[in-house]
Amino acid sequence: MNKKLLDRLISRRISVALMTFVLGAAVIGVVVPQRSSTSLKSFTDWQSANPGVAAAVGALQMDHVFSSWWFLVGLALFTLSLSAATWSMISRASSRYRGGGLDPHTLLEGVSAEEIALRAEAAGYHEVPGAGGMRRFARHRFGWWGSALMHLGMVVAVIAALVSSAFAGSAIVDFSVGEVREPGDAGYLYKETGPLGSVPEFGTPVRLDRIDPVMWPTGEVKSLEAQISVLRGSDTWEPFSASANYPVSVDGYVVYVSPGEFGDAAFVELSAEGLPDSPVRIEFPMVAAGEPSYSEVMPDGWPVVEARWDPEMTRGDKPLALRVVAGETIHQVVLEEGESAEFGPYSASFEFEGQWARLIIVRPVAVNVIFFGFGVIALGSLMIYVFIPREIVMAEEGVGVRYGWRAARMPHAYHEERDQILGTNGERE
Amino acid sequence: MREWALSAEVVAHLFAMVTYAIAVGLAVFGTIMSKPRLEKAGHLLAAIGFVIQSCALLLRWYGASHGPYLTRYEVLSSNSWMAMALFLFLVWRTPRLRSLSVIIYPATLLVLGLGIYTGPEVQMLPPTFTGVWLVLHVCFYFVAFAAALMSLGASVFYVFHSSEFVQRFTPPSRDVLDRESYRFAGLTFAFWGIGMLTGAIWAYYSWGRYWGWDPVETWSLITWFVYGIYLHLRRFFGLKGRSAALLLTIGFALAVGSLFFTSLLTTSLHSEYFN
Repeated sequence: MNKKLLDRLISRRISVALMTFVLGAAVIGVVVPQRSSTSLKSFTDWQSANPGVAAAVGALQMDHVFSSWWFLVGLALFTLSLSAATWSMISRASSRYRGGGLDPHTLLEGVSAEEIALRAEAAGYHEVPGAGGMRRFARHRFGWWGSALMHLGMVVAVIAALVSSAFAGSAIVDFSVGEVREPGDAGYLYKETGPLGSVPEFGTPVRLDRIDPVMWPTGEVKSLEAQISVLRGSDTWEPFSASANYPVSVDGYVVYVSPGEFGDAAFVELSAEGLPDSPVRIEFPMVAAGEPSYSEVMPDGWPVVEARWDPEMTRGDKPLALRVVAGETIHQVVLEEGESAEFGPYSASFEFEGQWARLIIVRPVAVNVIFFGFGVIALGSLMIYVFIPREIVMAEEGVGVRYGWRAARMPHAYHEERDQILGTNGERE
Repeated sequence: MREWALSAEVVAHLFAMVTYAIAVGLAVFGTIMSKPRLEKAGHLLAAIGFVIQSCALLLRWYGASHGPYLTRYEVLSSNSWMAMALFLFLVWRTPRLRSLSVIIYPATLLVLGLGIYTGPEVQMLPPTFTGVWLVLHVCFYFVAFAAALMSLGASVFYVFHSSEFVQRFTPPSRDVLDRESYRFAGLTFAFWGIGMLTGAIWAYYSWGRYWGWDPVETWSLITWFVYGIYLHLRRFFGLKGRSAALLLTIGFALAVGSLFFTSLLTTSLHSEYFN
């Protein structure tokens, strides 16, 4: 890299400017409604209420800051500057780790190097190899690497995050207990891939064997475990167990069980004249015991079919109620398992009930590298601000000792310690 | 749940709060009126209050069957506990900083009082609230908040150092205050960063993503950046004194906002615990 460009990239002014840029972008990201983190309805409501602002925000890509071209360009420059600064810090840390020299303006008379050495050791310093006949004592010597390590961790984490965003893929799928999904991504509720990534695909049938929710007395979910099986060969199912916070790794994919999305399901055959016959799985979210749960489905070509699930039959003598609202007219029916009935122009057959759960399947790319970067950042931060390195070098000269002392940060905070070691009581000679 | 432990814990928390309140009065009055005995009694009472609060948190842990770091009540109490622990340690190691107690003690009392105000009911925690990364995430933020509070105390004293009111507290010299605010800003930056990173790992194991630009995450990142900018300006551009102290005050305001208010004001994964 051109040295002038390198110097420009690592200049303090550019570093602080780029940090301020990322900070400013993050502020915009939380102040301006973002497409990704706002519900579609509230986002369009906001657009309708502020047409002028919304147009400007859209043109400047401020409604999706973190994937806008200007943020990505700024982030790339930030990463470049960070990488260049890290490189320069590594060479500086290496030189400082090897030790500094004597201060030509220091000479302590009437004292021996051995006396200073004893006091340094009492203050927690350790003798380390010194160059050119000098004796060298250091405390938290590894701390000289702190700043370089912290920045290196940031470079590793940011680059790995960019690679991960480019190549990773994830999908959300709803399963019924006992259901077998054949290879292929048909039926995924949601798919997301980076520009170079692909949708997670097992390549073998997968079955949801069971879900085991544990509820608090208040009806809220305490824990949830799901067991899935993957077909190996022609008839061997290999079981895997995933629970909330403890995903399972299967064939290179990580499978999560979504902690709040599971419950009972009703399998219903819907039909009507002029509409396609539609077998549907109506998924009811888990609610507190004794409470009915509500859901809705909209098969292709059909109006919205609203459903109520009341397994304890607190609202009637049958568990499933279906309703279609057509203008002023409401068509509804209640059913029990195995029963069929008509409601207005529609008919429904309640085939059977079961359970469902939502699984998230992620193809992780470089995530462990990101976490490794995190570890390096953490280590570097602690080395910088908790283990501040100090060092004293000395050599006997004539009737006294010439020395050099330094601390990586806040040297004034350690002058007392230095004077105690040198025995100068604040009176440096 | 062990009901007796939870009942005892509430009483202990109230006792701790009353003890802190008296400690604040004695420390402030003793310092202003130059009555060292009263001031000393204030510090002693603060230490006693700290022991009582420690017992309260242990009882909470035993009674609720989870560490005191998950519900808002527990988080605020633990935050105040950590701030008090750090300050008492600081005073023990560097007695000349004890005049900062006029800021730290009332702030600690306020945080604890807010915690008690939110109500000590034990909440039923969602399944994602488990795992070592969550514990590390929360605990590092406790330390970061405590360090930010120390840094704020030193900055406020620095800014108003020449005022007659602050002079009554016989504050340390401006150099010492400047240095201590820098030192604690560095610690805040380090522990805040680690808290954020452990949170990202926890999020990955819970929801399959390590970063989602959630409002709490984003404000937390902004806070970390502000502390980072402060440290860079300080180290490379010679920023110090009043401007540095004012920047740190902004950093602290952001820290309080992102820790305690963002999840109340916006939809966030963290709202699950705050609301």
